[in-house]
Amino acid sequence: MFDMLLLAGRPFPMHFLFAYIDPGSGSIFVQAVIGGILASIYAIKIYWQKLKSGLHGFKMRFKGSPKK
Amino acid sequence: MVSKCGLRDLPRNSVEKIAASFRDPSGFVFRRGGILYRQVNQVFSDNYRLLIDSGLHADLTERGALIQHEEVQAPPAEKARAFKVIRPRELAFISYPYEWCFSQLQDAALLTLDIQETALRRGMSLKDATAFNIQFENGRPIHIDTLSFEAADSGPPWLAYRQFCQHFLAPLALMAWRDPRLGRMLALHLDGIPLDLCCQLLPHRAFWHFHRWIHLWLHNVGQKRIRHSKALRAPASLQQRLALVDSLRSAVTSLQHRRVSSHWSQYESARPSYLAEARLSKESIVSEMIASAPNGLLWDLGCNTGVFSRIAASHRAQAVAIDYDHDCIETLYRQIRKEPNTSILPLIIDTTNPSSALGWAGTERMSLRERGPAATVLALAIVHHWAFGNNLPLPDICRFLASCTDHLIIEFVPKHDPMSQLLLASRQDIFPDYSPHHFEQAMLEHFELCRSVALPGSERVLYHFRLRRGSQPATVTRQE
Repeated sequence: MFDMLLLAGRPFPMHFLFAYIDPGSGSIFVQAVIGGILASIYAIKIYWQKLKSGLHGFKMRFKGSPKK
Repeated sequence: MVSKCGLRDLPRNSVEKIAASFRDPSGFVFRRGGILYRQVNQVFSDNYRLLIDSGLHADLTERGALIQHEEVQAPPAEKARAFKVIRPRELAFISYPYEWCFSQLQDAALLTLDIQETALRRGMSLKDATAFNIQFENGRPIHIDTLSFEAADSGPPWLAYRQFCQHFLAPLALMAWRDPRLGRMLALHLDGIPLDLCCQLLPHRAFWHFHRWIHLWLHNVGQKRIRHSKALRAPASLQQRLALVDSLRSAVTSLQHRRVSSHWSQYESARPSYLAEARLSKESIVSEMIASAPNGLLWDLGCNTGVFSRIAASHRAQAVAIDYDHDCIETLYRQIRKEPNTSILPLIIDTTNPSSALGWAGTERMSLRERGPAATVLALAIVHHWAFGNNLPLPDICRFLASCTDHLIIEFVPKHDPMSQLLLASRQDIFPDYSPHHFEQAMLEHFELCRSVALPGSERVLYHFRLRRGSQPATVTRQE
């Protein structure tokens, strides 16, 4: 499975990294592999929260409107 | 380090470079004439300007997340490399991650992630994520390294990702899923617990959480497989960087320390050795003794859940509550972090094996004694544990205490006390010299007596000693 994830990763240009600590090649590669997946989950989470707060606001407005 | 710990009388213009401040070429911390400064090197000048101009520094310091500093005109320690000299606000006491309970380490991890998220939104990023950059003040974590920020470039999501996982996530997972005492492993692995070791020690069910599985298991596999490759620069968007922080936050908050009920954390409530009256009387006497001692740092050795640390905190600027039992410190920390302002710093330290000097050349991380001396030490109902539990002779106990403090408030628990009898129940009594007389004689070798009070309803005695300044031992007169 991990090999599949490696293949799914984009080809990255090689550069020297100006970090004073060793970030670890494996750690950087894992970040690159999971970056897209986590960003998708994060986007869904943000939109879900926006939708929920929007629905909540609508519900409150509906509840707060005077009864006829 | 930004601490008054280990402060010695130095010549007015002598420069002492702080031993822990050598890794980052951006600058270092030094002390001149007793005042702590941080030199910012030329190489960090652009990032320093960005930190200030972006408003990130002001934002973080206003929230109490980052230590405050002022730019000063003091001469730098190394003129050739210097860009600026700043004077950070000093903390009363420096603690280390291997002395923290689970919730302290978890709060430190969450603060690091909050700072990283704030930095990313202002175009910067944390270039390191070591737990040693976090300290505790007023019951809350605070980041103490002003030079940990750099412009977020087009590199991978976070260069300090591995460091964060090793310093925070791995020990937290081990503490939550195996035993909270495994936090002490951070003293063996100062750059964080290696992920392969962590994954070997964790049970399989610990990985039944998507974010934990990614950052521990998958991360470990990645480290093993991509060991010999050259460094890779993956272009990451802001969204990917924020997503990584959010995922790490989920992994950290998914970990819970549930068991807070050790024998010692229940000791105060189930203590058979005190009646309510005697306990109130003891609290009142200790309070009086603390009030009569000089102001300054106070160490409460064997603090349990911190009843007397609280009394001390009402008199002092900073009380360091020390106990070897994780759950006592966890209980105390959970209580004090709810309070708006507290001056108690709870730490897990075994007084029979206190934190030693660690790291490069044995000077990078200070021993407990190097972080002293304390103005006052409280050692209440602990002498019998040292003597009967660890076979420590009374003169050795007194010598150790004399090296820690100028003022000592100590409770002597005699051999006939029920708690002493409990300790001696299953072993041979090889302590013929354990008596009030021998105790007083041993103490008077180093201290002079200020006051002693017999606790009503027991044979225990509370003493207030002051460190002797080259005079002969005095006779003990006890106030009944």
